[in-house]
Amino acid sequence: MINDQELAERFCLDADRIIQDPSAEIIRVGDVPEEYIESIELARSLVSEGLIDQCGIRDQLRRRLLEKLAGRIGGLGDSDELDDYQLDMVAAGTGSEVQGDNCSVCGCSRSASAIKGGICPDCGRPRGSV
Amino acid sequence: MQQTHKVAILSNEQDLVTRSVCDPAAFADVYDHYLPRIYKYIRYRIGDPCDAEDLTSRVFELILANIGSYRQDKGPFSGWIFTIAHNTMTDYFRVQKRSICVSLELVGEIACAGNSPADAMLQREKRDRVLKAMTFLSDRERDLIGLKFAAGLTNGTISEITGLTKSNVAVIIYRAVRRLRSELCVAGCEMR
Repeated sequence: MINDQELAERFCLDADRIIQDPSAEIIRVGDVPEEYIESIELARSLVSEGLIDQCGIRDQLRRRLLEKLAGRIGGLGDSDELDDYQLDMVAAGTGSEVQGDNCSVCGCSRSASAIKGGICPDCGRPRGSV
Repeated sequence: MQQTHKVAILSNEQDLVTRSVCDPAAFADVYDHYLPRIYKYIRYRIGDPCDAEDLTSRVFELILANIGSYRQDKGPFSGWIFTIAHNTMTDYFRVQKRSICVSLELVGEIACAGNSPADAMLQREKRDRVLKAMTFLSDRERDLIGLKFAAGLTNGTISEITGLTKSNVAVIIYRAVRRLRSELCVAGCEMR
């Protein structure tokens, strides 16, 4: 009679076969209980079940992540800099008010709250000067 | 007709992962490949679809932020990615201070798309029963079921993620599936 440990090991090997190919036929070898075969069928069902159709953020999340990565590649998202959300937090929710208020000289897209001392760190001129 | 979702191998994975740091197209391939598995793993652990979406987002934000630090010699990429998912879930449960957070009402209200209306309804009923039965398992059992059948990981990788021995992983998974089957039997759901 196969003990629980051996049965569990065999079950996981059969599960690995099903994971590789959900239609794989599992051959009943030796004295395995009926319950084992039923558990294998349940495992097959767990592998085959797709839940992704219930995920409503798939495209939106994809777009957001890719935009973030593109921004990072473009040097806008250096790790030392704050992202939009963090900027909003630092600015105590005033982020929306300063949106679009860029340096008029170099067009660096830094918001007012990100430029310390009123001097743009990119062009070195007072922010807003012409 | 029952759809099958094979845990496919991402061809050229290592190259894609390396390029993902600076190539959005490569990252998109990684995302498309792993999103269904990450989402399914999280759904197996918590029933609430809104929380599952939020946690899926959180996991992918972490993957994007840290993908440059992945080292192939430390183990397979799937192990690395599901370690992030596993740790995110651990943090979530720590904050929530609860291990069972599945709303049975929410599980029943989930919409199901695809196939004919009759097939879709049958499929939805079946998945709802499985998700409901999952709530009777312990968090550790749900974790291991998710890592095995949603993530498609080997017992060796699961052992590395959870800190359990491979033998323990096998026994817990087998017992959890038996328990799940027994809960489904009580609910009158035949899996064969």
